[in-house]
Amino acid sequence: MKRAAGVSALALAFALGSRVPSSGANDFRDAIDRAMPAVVKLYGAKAGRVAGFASGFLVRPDGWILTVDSVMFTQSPRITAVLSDGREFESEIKRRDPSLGALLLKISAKDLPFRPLGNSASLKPGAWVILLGNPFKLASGADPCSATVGVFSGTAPLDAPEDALEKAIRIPVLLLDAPNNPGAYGGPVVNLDGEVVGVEGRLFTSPLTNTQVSFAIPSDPLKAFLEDALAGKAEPVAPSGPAPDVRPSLRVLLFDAVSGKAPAYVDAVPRGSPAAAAGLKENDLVLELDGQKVNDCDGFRQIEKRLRPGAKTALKVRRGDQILRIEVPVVDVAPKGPGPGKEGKK
Amino acid sequence: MIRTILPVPILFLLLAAAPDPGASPAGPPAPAAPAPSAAPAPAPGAERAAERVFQDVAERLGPSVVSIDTVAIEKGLRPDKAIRFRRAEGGASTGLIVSQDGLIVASAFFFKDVEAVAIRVRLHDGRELPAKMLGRDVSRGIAVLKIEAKGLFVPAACPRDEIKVGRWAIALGRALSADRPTVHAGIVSAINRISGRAIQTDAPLSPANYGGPLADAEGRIMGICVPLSQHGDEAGAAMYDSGIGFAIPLADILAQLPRLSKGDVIRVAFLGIQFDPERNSGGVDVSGIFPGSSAEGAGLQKRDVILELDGKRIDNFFQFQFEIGRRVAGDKVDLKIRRGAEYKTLRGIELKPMPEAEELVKMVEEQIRRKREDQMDMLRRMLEEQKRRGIPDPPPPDEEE
Repeated sequence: MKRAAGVSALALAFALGSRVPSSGANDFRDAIDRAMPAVVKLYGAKAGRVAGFASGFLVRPDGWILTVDSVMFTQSPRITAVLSDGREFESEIKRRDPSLGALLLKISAKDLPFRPLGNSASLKPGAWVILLGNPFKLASGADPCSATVGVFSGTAPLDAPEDALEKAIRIPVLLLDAPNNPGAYGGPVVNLDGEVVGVEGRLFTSPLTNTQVSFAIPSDPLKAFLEDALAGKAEPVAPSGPAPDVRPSLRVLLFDAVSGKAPAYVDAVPRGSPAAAAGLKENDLVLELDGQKVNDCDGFRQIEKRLRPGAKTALKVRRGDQILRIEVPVVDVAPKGPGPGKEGKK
Repeated sequence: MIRTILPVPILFLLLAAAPDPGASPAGPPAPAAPAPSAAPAPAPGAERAAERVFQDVAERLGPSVVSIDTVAIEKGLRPDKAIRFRRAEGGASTGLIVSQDGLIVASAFFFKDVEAVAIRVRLHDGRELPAKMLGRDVSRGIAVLKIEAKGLFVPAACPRDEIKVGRWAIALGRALSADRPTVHAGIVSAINRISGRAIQTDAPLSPANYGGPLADAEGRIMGICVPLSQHGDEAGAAMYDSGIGFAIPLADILAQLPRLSKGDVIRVAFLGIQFDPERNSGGVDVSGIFPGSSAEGAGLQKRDVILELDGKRIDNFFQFQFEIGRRVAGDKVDLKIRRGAEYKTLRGIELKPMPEAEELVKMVEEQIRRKREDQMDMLRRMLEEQKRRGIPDPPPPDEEE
């Protein structure tokens, strides 16, 4: 092998700092030892194709268990929690948050081993993460759950399709390269310090990559959910879509006369419309609307109907050799008062 | 599972004092690595050291990894004017900057069977630029794009002979999130896969990082992640999540860059011989020649034995295929052969591109027709021989099919 005279500063730092005997420190083991006692095995009834088992973990010493919601919890009359010492408890569902896909259970016990929610914002891509849970209910009773290691890949929205259970999770989630398996969901995802940085999500196939994505709900938004529950605040109301009598529109005519699957070319911008005033032009190809990628005319309409009338939104368009960002006001074109603006066919 | 063998690659890292990529002449210096004094980790385990390597590599290489959004349309039968009537096939992928003035290497997977109407490249600093498609290397699943920019950060390539099995392999992508590159880690599982064209890794590869770099622990680029299979096509998508992924050595791509940036399409080379796996006369036993192939043009014949390719000794067909696989259409090769008792060297055989599926079918049909004729000929000769001798003879054992 070719050796250069200049030794990389980084390699040097490791060479000096990590002369550890092979039988010595193991950062994985330390983290696992710290977090594993708080991991809980959850059992319910099998509901259709959804397995009747999951994982969770104690977030408070007085029996609060955090996990991820699934059909099992809505269909099972009883959820049994088995602690790391093998004790079994009946649990009570206390609270759920559909926008996070999170669920909080409570058992009647005290002085339990627990793991508080840590800081997910400080996680850097490339950091090790360890998934603790009970895939395929391999462990039972006092058996320790499984630990699986991988790296934190980055944060990204899930882009779940409308029919997926995860569709409500619109916050960016933690993407992991550790394999996820049935039953491991709800278990804690910890860093090398054993801090909980997230909660493992259910098995999910990304429509973008057509691969199984291993993801976790980040711990930061879960903290507020947990605190509200402990403070006894009212459960949040599921956010509803725009009112039925509102039809948000940009008043842009797309070239979708033949197929909504055609690229989103602007066919016409009505003279005097806010979009025209903002500088949108015929033949612009829309690449992005409201921060979301637009593949075709249908994609444009999907995003358009969720916009808020009265606000402004940004379009990214390709015009000739340029990519332009254009801000356009969103208007309401629902048929009330004066006639609706001319619109592409629906 | 690879993580259980952690200490080995780490040891490798400690022992292998590699050149600092920041000092490479290939581009402007990389952002400095964090000073060792900044993080005094008290006796960290090997795992923490590895974590810092992954994070540092991702951060240093981040500026060279771009996100690519494509608005494309199906390759249509209609003329170009009808672009707007055709179905849009969008996609997000990743690319790697390979020249300061905006040459980008990407996976051809996202441009296959479609016509790109708009390609948008997003740089690490948020700049968004339209890109043009230049050339493609079909044999390696690589596409080259160009954006109009200056002074871009170009990472160093890892020399091919320093890509070693067991070393860390860090795959970076920007398809899922344009803000920061995603990180997937594993090791180099094998080198010289797919006729020597690809590195194999167990870092999880998927459309999330196809087109992105596979870096070593020193932040040098070993290869570009692409979908591939043993058959050399893009069926590698079937191997998602399986711990088997492929990357094309960057050094090989850079060697073809002058052609690719001119807009050339580089195709898989095809000599056009069939071989007999049952026989081994110290080389490759040619058992058939595809009509219209380079082999036919060069005068290769059935029962020739190929002994050397460009001066390199060939012991069996796999070696031969490996050597041909490293070449591309348009390359010229010299073959040393044995024909009966005679030794010959056929010089300057230009390799034609791998025929399209339909052409290949025609070639095989023609091949079968010729074989049948041969057999009929043989039968006729045998009958004549028998008639001449007047006694029935068993057919010669070495001529039966």
